[in-house]
Amino acid sequence: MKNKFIFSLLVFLMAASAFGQTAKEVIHESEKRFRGVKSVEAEITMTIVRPNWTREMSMKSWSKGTEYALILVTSPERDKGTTNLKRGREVWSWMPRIERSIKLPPSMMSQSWMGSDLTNDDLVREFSIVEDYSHAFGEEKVIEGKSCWKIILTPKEDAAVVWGKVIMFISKDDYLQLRSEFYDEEGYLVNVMQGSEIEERDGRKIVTKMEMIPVEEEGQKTVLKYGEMKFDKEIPDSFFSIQNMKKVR
Amino acid sequence: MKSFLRYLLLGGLILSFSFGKAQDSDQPKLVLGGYVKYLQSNAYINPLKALTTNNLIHNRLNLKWYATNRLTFSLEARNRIFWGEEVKMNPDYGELIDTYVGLVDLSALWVNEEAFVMHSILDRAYLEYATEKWELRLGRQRINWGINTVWNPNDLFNAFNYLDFDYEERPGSDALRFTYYTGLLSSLEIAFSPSKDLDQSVAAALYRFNLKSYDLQLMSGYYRGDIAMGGGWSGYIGGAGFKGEASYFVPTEQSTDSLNTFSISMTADYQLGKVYLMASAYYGSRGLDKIDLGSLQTGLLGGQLSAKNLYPTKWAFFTNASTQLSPLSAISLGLMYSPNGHLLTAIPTISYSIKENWDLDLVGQLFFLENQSSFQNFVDGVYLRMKWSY
Repeated sequence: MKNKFIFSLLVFLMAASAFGQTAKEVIHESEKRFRGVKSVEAEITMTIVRPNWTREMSMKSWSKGTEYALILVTSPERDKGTTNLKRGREVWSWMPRIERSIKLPPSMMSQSWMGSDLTNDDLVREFSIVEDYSHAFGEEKVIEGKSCWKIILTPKEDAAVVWGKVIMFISKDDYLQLRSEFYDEEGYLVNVMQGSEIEERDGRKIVTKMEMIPVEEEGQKTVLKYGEMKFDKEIPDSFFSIQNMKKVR
Repeated sequence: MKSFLRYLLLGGLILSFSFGKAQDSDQPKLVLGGYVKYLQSNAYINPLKALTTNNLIHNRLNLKWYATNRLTFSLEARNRIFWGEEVKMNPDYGELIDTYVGLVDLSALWVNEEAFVMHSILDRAYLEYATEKWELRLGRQRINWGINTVWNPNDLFNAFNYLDFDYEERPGSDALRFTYYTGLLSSLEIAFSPSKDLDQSVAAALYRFNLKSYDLQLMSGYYRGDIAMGGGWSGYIGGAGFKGEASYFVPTEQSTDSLNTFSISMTADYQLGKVYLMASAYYGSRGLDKIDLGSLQTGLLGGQLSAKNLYPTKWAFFTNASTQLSPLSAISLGLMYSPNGHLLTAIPTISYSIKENWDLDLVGQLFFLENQSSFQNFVDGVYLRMKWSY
């Protein structure tokens, strides 16, 4: 259940590029605008909402292609300064309090990141699992006053994917992913991802707020809010080093 | 010393409050952080049927001043107030906690009453100059060369006792350290930590590099009269993490020791679904073949640890399983076992996030030992800790 939730978050966040003709172009363009082609730098605040409590965590993240990523926790105070570095398949965590970097075992990648609804994997690995789906246009729909394409993703045979079906709504004017629906194998709607608060970041119009809502779990959601962002800035490979993992602020 | 410390602490506070978060650039020059912890300890000694309690308020103040792009000044203070039965039962409690083996005395025992002790220490105080390629650090600092979580034969500068869970930062060493980054994943570190008795100094070099997804390190140097050499690794076998480190010490004429010492520790860890599993093994040639109650007191709880002797017995094993129950709470169970005398320590913990920056921990340390051919629970520690981070 939790895995599916995380997965749907992932697809929404990191859906990659390999689709057929027109739907592919739509998804590809949408991804390019939000994820950048070469690199993305972002300030993100994540809020975990449960019926009786909420917790907030802020971070700065730098990523370059699918190979390199660096994430710095900026709040809460308890975890401030903790960084995660990813180079290829290797991942390290730097804990300033004990002044040591620890290499994470690969099996830990699927685990919750600092107690959140995101996994280590979500943060440091680019997911390209969308390649495992075939797609089709569905009926167009208006969401938040915007005319949207509806794209239905069905898993290809032999594809080891969690969802029976994913439906994405992408705005026609700005290629914004305004809504995604994640269905299980029996065809039941499990998670809904909503994109809102359309604003400009580094000259691009994007959804700056994303809410992942598990349909069956009342009062529960995870909200990602994007602050400052920079797209396709030249980041040297040396930025993703053990040295910088300790220094970055 | 007292006035010096007071000046530093007050000065730091005032500076950081006046300039701390009001910088116009997006990166503040002065950063202040830390926490306040309250630890309530209960020790139950089984054979005596006696319960001893103690209280500790513990404040940590971390101050970083980014003077220029390259120059950083770090100051971290640990202020503690102890009171309760344990303090009362140990007439020398104040003196006992006021021991520091460093070169410069940066501590102050403010109050040392019968059942009430106040103590402050600066356990970090250093200047760092860093360029793209190298860093130079002078002053009291943590030089962490260990790889494992529990036993660190490579950690020449700050050997620690795993059971001392309330001091995760660990003491610093008065040292000069030079780090040169030879590559993105490789570096050479040279560190010198002088002692008042020069023979007792530590001077060593560590080279880290990465080979086929393995982080490797080689270490060599002079360690309190011995020649030390060692190395470690950290990598994967399948989905599991696999790491370890070993050191070998050969006495020189300056050594008070006459025997060679070897210690090694290895760790494997694995995430099985929601449960994180970890197992560690340790061998130290200087450990006891058989531990009894008497030697345990001095060995394990007395805390005479060094890189040469990280555990009172020759062999020791540790396993730990932990899991997150919700984003707010986690539980874990650790078991530390030594076949040399059948010493077992069970360490159950529960942690809970009360609200943002407020944490609650309940930690148990239950000791069992073979005594006159029966396996006995001789002492249990239960600790309740509340922590507020700022």
